[in-house]
Amino acid sequence: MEWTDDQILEAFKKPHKREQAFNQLVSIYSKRIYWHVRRMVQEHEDANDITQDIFIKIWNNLGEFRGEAGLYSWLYRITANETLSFLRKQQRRPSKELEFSVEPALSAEQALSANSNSTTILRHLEAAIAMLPEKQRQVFIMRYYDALKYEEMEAILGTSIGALKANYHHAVKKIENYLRDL
Amino acid sequence: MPDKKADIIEELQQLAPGLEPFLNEGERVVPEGYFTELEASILQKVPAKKFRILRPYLYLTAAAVVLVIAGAVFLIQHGRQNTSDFATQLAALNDEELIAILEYEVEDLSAEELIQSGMVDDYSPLEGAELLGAVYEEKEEMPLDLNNTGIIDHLLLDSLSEDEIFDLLDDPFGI
Repeated sequence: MEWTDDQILEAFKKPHKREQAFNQLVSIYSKRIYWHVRRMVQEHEDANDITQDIFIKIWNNLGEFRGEAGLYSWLYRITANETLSFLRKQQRRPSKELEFSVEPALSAEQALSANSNSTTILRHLEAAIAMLPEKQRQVFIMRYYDALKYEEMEAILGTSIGALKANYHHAVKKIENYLRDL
Repeated sequence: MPDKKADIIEELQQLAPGLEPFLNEGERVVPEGYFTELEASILQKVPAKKFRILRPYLYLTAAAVVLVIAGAVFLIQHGRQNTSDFATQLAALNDEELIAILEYEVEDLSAEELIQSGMVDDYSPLEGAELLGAVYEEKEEMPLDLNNTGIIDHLLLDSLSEDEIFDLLDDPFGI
């Protein structure tokens, strides 16, 4: 049976249950965290490394978590920070857009056609998301793929709901335009 | 992956009609069994096992160190306090009381024991005639370098009348 966040936190305070609590936490959140990271950084290997680093950070800091925000928000904040940190380091390396630019382009009709090859569409979707500024990318993934409420995103990112909606709007429009322009 | 909520899909349709089907990630995959391996890998990396093995020894060592330190501090403090109390009490006594204490304390001690205890020695100043008597009662003769003047110098004159002092000078051993 899956533990609640409160049960995990309570158990983590007890030394003899700490490992068990952390096992539960990993079991519940590892997929969600991995997929958020994967959408942000695109590459599986990078996402794998970052996800593991995130959980080590969680282990090291969970004892100091005071519960001002929910556990879920706190985990997401660590995830968001670690991922952005990785992306900023990566900016010094060659851009991923170059990698995508060598892919065969789809026509607008192909891109928006239900008959297009799904793998190719996914490639272009990844490229469209990758060209978004960090903040818009983060907001788009949290809202559309992670299905977070704006209130939850506000707690995690410390950004007002108005600004989050504006970021989401811009992100959606850019993705749409990117796919149409292919 | 959380299910798409109706309000999110509706919001997207309002912003970009027709885009929603192209946001499908059906082809995004991970290696088979990846999440099981991921969990195992994470749990291996955190120092939980090592911590659990070391913890009892850590606690024992910490407890032993604390005990040793506490014991040392107690002994030092206790020693200081005793010394301090003794000195304070001694300073508060007047001469008569000091003499009385010395008389009482030395009553059951032989001269040898007194000398061995360090309270007095063969040449040291001695307080009061009774003490002198106690110390030297077993000695056949006075120390060679202890003359009458030396005795008077070291007597507590405040506690003795002039006659008593001269009596002592005449007969220091009360014979």
